[in-house]
Amino acid sequence: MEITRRRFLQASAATGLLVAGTTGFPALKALAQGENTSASVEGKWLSTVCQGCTTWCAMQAYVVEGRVTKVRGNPNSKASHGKVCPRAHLAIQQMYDPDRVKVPMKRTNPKKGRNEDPKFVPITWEEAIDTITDKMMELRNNNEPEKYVLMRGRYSGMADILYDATTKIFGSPNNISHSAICAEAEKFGPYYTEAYWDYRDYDLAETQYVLLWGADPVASNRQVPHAINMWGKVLDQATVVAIDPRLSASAAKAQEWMPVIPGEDGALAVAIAHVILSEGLWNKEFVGDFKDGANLFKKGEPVSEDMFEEKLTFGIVKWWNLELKDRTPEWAAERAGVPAEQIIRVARGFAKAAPRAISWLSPGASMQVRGAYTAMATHALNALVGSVENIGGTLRGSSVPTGKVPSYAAYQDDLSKKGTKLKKIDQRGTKEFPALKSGKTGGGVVTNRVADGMLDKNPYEIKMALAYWCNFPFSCSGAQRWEKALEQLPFLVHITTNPSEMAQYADIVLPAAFHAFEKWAFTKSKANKIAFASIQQRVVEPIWDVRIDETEITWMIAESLAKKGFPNLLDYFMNEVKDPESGKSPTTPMEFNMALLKQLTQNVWDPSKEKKGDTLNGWQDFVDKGVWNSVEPDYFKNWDKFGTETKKFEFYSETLKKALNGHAEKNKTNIDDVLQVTKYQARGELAFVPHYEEPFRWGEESEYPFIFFEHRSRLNREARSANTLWYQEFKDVDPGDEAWDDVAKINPVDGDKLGIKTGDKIRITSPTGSITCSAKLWEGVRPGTVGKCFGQGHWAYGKIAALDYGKRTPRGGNNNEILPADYERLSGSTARHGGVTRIKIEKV
Amino acid sequence: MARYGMVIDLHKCVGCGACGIACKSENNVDQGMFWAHHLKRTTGVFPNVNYEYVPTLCNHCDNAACVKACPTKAMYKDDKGLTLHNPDKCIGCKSCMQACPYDVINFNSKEPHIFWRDTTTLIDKGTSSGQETAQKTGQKLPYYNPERATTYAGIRPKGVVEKCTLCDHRLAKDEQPYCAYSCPSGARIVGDFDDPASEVNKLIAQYGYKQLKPHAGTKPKVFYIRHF
Amino acid sequence: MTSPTYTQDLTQTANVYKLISLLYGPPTDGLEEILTLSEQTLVNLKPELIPIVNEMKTLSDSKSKLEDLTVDYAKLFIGPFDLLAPPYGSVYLEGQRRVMGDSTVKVLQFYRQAGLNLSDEFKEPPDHIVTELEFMYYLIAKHIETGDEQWLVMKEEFFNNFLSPWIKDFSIRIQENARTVFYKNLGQLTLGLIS
Repeated sequence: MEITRRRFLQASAATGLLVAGTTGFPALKALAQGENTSASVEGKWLSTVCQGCTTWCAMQAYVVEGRVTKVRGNPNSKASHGKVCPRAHLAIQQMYDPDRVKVPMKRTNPKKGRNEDPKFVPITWEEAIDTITDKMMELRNNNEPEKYVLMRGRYSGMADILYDATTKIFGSPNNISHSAICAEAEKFGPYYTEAYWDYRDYDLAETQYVLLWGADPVASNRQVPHAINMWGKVLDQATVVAIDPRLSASAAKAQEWMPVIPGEDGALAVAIAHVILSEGLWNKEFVGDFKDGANLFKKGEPVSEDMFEEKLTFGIVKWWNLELKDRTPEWAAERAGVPAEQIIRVARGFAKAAPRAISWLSPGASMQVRGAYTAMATHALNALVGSVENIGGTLRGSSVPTGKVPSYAAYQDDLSKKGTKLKKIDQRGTKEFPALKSGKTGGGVVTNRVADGMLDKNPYEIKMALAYWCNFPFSCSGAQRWEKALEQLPFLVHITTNPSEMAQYADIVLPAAFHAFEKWAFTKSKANKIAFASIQQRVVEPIWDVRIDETEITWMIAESLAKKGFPNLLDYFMNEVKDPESGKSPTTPMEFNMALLKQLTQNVWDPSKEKKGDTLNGWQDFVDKGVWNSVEPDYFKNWDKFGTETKKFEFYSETLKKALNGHAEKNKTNIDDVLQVTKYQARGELAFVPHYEEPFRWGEESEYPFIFFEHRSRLNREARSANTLWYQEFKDVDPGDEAWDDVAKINPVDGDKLGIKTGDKIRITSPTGSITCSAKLWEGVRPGTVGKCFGQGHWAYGKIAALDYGKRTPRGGNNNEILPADYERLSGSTARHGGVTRIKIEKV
Repeated sequence: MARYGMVIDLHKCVGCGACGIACKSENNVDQGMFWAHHLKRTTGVFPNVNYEYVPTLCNHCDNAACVKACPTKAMYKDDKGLTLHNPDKCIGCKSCMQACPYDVINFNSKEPHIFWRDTTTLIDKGTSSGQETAQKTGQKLPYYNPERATTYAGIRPKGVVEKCTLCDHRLAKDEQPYCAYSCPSGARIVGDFDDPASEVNKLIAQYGYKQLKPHAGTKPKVFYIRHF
Repeated sequence: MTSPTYTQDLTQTANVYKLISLLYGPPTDGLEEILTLSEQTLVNLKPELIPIVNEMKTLSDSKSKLEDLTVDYAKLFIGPFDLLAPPYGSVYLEGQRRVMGDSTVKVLQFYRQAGLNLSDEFKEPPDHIVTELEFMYYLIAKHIETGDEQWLVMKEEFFNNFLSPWIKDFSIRIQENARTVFYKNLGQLTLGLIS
């Protein structure tokens, strides 16, 4: 049908106005008369990423009139079933936090200390960047670029442009991530058994038995919405056992709670292995069997290796002979404070569910001074029942085909090449700190050691730090050392949303775009058998003068350095980063951000790029949908090619032997000496099998009668949410905790002995520090132990988080001020769990 | 006539609190007030300890004590069986709060959202204040949800009570209440108990149910199934 | 042309906005009639622009020409990649290649204040040139219809805040990048009318 324009459009006889032919009303095509013009403005769901924990769920924000009013899970996200956990909602109050830093600031009081008011005054971005690059140029002009440190906290998929490329082009080896205060010890377990340095995924839909080693999946890392969504089904079809000193959120729902004495997880793990072997319950398909079929694993009796024909594993008999043969449930019961019958029941149940059985290790069971072998032992249980990459077992993830930042080697001058080859300030790879990430000596970071490196000027002095989205004087154990280290640091730049503890020591404070709603970036993660990439979108225009940490600020620094005679960084950005759609080089900070983002994610959104997962119809489609989902990984994928030295799943770790040897050789010593200085008890061959180590604790029992342990909150957004009303009002959703308070959970038996009641103010003292908080008498902790959640105790950050920001009075106390700075040294991880310190309690 | 209410599956519930927080976001509920909240109980002696978490909200009772107690008919039952409140008629006498056995009605004793009227700043010209943040967003509450205002006062004034409406503004658009929509475990199911084929009726037939304070005679319409 | 005194001028201004809005739609064989209407409308308003329109007329009347126009139109305004003249305000206003930015939302709010919504049939962001020009037409039309000055106030505000800041750059990009005389002239015409 042909409708000519003339018929559709004609001049009104009365006015001469062109009107719609039949109605006489103004002719509208793109617009339409609204039905209800006075009613509320309709909003729009826009996709972004939560980043409240490291699950990094794809979520959506409801935007009305340029404001975020509510959030929901991204319906396109298979990994999270389109759900988010309670943390996501708190992001709204975080963005609109009245205590946000709204402009760049500089310090005018040169004295630094907790009780020194920095006397911050607002400055322009130009002045801030100019001051920063003056300091950077000074280091280069003095031929000491290594004295610059980049400290990274929460980051995105774009991080390497600042963290890696900028630091290395500038000429410093010191790009320091926060990873080792998070969970590196956990990854040690799967790496030194099956050569996988990563978190695992878990086949919850198919599982029939779940052993939670300090893991609290319905409350914290790493797949919270997935776990919550599946938990009803899991509890219907599987037995869930929570091994945790505390009645955690997951323990409260579990069929069995094993309230292990903090740090004794390893005893339970080897005893469970002992039962599985001595009762002949191991998975023959995965592990193999005795050649004549008779089980020779008998308590206390060594076995000849040639009697056993191993299939996909290596060293089962060595493991038995070196460690397991004497690790009876009765022995473990005495160590761990859990009845032998329960250990046997759990071991049998776990093995009978094979291979649909999961042994789920976590930071709780591994970030202990002697936790590396517990990480290995708990993960090795999966191999005993053949659940590694099996239906209903533990899985690896699919890959997400995002790109890496372009090579920058050509932009490094002689000074930067020389500087980046120097030793790092965290002392990784020294005899005491092997940090054996992915098999390499010094392969991983020892985050918390940086404070000591700075204080001791070892290996050299640090003169300047650029820190973003981290808060080490709050988040690192032995927090007081960080205060001292930052007091004497000549120049600190802090990119932050809030005037945090770290910001109090800063010379320049730069206001960060809030990740979930004000940033353009991407992240990748996995859960529910799906690996995924998500877009982080600026869903609303920021109301403050903020910039995106990793890209916009970096670009401004590069431009300023170029003006001052060091163009390499800017050249690298302009030459190597191009918008893949237009082919254009960026000319502004935001263009740089967008070009890099599109470049790094092109494989994901460009329909012409082949990949195993969703096909998106271009960049805008990625922005709209917000998430790219991979296919599910194949089961059994690495069964014939584990990346270990033996290509098998190693109960006797040749891979670890090689790594320890490499480390010992580099430090001109032997493995036993390395074990000695890293505080391990094992010597000789025992060092290569998962084995029990006595927990290492600070403080004598006579002076410090209680074992202290800490745990996570289901509302913690990495210790950044305590300044929100909703966090405080709902803090009691952590079992045993109270709203608007920070409580130490004490068993009523101990409370009676001490004359302490719920609500009393108490002082907790460890050999390294002292804090005050409220007492809570609660049956969910074992007598003799005291449990307290991490997250409260801010003495800065904001009006809610701190009881009195001006007077530096915290709301409760920060656990990291009583936790000593100790390490699981083989992984470089901070050792904050396993009852690392003893404490005493006084009523105040 | 319909009789809308909720089934809460305590077996699925993990006690995370997302319902209560999401409710605050959806309904512009002020600090210190809770339309959706929870009861908690720890029983037993170590190591045989039981922890229970029971999400709570207005029971939208068939025989609502608050409605009977209200002298001005501000509290009323609507044609979906919801217990609703008209702030224009409310005189703030709190009779409903005293009559309600469930402690789910809140009173606005102060100007609402005074947190966002606060003018103090931690760092002069460096950090913001509640008031400045609110002004920047052009709303009394930066994350104010205008959708709430389609059936109830978007923000309830000082001197009146307020409570859960089972998100009647969302039900009107055939959407679930925001607490149910936001529950990551799918534990909250909303439906019409007058409809024999409804999911809620099927669930209580399959599992049986418990109610809070059934002896109060209010005929509550939040039914709890299975165990935490 | 932003503050005409006479009703007749106002009417013709409104009509011109509407007609140019139509010219920014996908090329069809109806273009000729729109051009004819445009020519008539310009007689009193801006006669100096008539030759530009005439030249466009001669170039839009045959089938092969229509194909050329379609190709040119796509390169200039549709993409998928690397638009030569993106027809969205936010791309210019926010200094980045970004559709659905904050300014886009503000434009949408402006429409709603005027009692309008986006049409379901026109699937483009609110700050598309077609929509913004049509909105200018609507606001003047409402003033003529009701005699209420507020519509003109809104028109001024919308023009100053949302259309004027980018339409010049946009027109120049068309003139620089168009391969057909039709679109080069459309850019010129747009510039001539708006300035």
